[in-house]
Amino acid sequence: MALDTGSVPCDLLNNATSPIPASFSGTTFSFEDVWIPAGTSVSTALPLIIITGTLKKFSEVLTTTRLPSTNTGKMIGNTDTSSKFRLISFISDGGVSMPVVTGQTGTAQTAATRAAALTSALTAQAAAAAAVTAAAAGAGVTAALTTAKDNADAAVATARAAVAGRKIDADNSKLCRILYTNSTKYLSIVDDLFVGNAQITALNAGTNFSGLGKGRYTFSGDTGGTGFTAITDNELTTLVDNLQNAKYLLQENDLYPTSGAQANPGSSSTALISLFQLVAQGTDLTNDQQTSLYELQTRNLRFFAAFLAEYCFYRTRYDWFLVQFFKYYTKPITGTGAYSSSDADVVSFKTALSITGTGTGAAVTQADLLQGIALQMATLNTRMVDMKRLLNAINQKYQTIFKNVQERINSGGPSIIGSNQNVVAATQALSSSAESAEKYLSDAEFRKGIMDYTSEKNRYSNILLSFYAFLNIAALAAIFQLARS
Amino acid sequence: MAQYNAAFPAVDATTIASLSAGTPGVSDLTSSLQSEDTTSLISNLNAAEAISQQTNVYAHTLGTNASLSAIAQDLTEANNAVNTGASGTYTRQSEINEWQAQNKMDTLFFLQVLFLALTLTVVLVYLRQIGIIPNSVMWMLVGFMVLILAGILWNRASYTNVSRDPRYWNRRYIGLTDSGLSAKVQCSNS
Repeated sequence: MALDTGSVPCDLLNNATSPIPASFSGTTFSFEDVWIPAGTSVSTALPLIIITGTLKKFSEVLTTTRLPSTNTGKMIGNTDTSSKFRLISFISDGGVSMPVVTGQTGTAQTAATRAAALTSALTAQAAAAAAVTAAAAGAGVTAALTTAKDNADAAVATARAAVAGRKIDADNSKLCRILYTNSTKYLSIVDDLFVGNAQITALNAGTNFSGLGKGRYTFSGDTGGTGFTAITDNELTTLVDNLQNAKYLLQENDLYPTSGAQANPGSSSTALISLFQLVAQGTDLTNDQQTSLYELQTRNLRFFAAFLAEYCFYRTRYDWFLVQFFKYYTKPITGTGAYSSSDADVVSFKTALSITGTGTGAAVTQADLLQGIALQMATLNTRMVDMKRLLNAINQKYQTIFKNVQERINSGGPSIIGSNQNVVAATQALSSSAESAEKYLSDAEFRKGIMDYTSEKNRYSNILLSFYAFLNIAALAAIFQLARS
Repeated sequence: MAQYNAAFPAVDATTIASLSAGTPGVSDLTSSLQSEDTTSLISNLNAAEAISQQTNVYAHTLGTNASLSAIAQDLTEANNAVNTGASGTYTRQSEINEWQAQNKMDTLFFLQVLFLALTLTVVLVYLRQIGIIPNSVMWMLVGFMVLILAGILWNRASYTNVSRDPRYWNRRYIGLTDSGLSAKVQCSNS
């Protein structure tokens, strides 16, 4: 299970409120920009959500200048690598981990680099020893020792990483590691797949796949009134196919190839079954194979994590609007706390939502405000529903793949590698040969006894031959002796 | 598809019933609407993630099955090699030992006969020395024994070299067919 059914997924995400940026266009990144906390003031939240009637897009909030790949911010508030929920464990940097690659610190290192690191470590240690000697002199003893120790520790750590290798930077708790990127920006599932003429940029390949090209889902042009046509199931199925082709989701061939060179598990295959088989056989995987195995194991988890991040982007905005809607819905017309079009927040709403007032002097009436808020809520809700439909389409797709793989295991004939019948056939053959081997082992002592017996017989024959050879020589000697005497 | 125009998530009958039971407050409405969306999100996300994970696990099972199969095949080949290879070696070594031992016993038989002849020769020489038998009789008897010895030697050697099976000491060839030298047999074996 990916998520705990008893929790609110978006509440798990990191929405740290500090530091709050001075404005949306600021360059300081804050998780509050992405997942707006409940209760955020109108003056703070509105610029993050909508400007002059145009809702902000996920991809606009997350730019590479505001969230660089070096950002250490964690996607969820409280990481739990031992969580029993796979997705939570994954975005806590638990579960599937990147393999430790010997001699690498992100990039391949040469022997000379490692030697230099070792030399540096030894030099630092020598400096530490010198500092200890100097300490006897008196002044600055503590500071000198501390500095020398820190330098030595750092150099030793560097050398150890260079020589023994370390984990490649694949910290999946970092938001910047989860989100998809191309050469210029973070990619958004909705903005890049549903909207306009956007394309799905293939990961690790130069090909692009068409999105749905649904112009009506652009926030700016959608009035939310008439003319809605739901995305069809076929379109969503095509979208899932494209996501798989672009390597956002695992394909059947990535798991268990049915044709081509990949169909034969072996060292040249990069399919999951082949890599698992190599691991099971104790074969040392190459760096590329280790990376492939990790990528395949985490591909879907990363998609679902990115999906959750983007979904909650819209969900937190929707929740914020929902609270505002009921807040103004319940305001009395007159009396204490009555609705006022001159209220600072109402003015902010009018500007941000581009509401045309129908009251006196084009004032924004309570109904105008509620209609304006409801329009944005409908737009956001439409995206959220579409995203959930995409999940459903993924579910349907994997039901088919799962069924195919299941059939291969359960119903595949003895010639299908990995099928249960294949294992049964191999086990039966082993059992049969084991019986013969067992019989052989039980006969082994007897056969060995016979061999020993015949060897002994040979030995005694040799003795007898020697004895009779001696007797014959003695007899000849006797004959010669008698003949001469 | 009304939901595409809806500002609020669809709520199920149970939620509507619970809200309509009294006068719902704003917080009740808000939490109910949020709960509906949360439930549908978790339901869809967990279903999609679970099925993809199950597929992954099944692929792992396929890989494990393939490994088990490969291991079983390797062990089978190893067992077969033991049965055919080592077993044959034991048997053949026993046959070689047996053949050598019997050959030595055959040689021993000749040496025993030779010893008997030499012993008789000693007796004959002694009888000639003391004048009981003349010289010619002695040489005639010695010559006779030499003939017998030569006959025995020729008989054993020719039998072993020509008629005896080179593998089993106690087996002999009877004619060309039995020895495998027959053209007819060679053609049928090819």
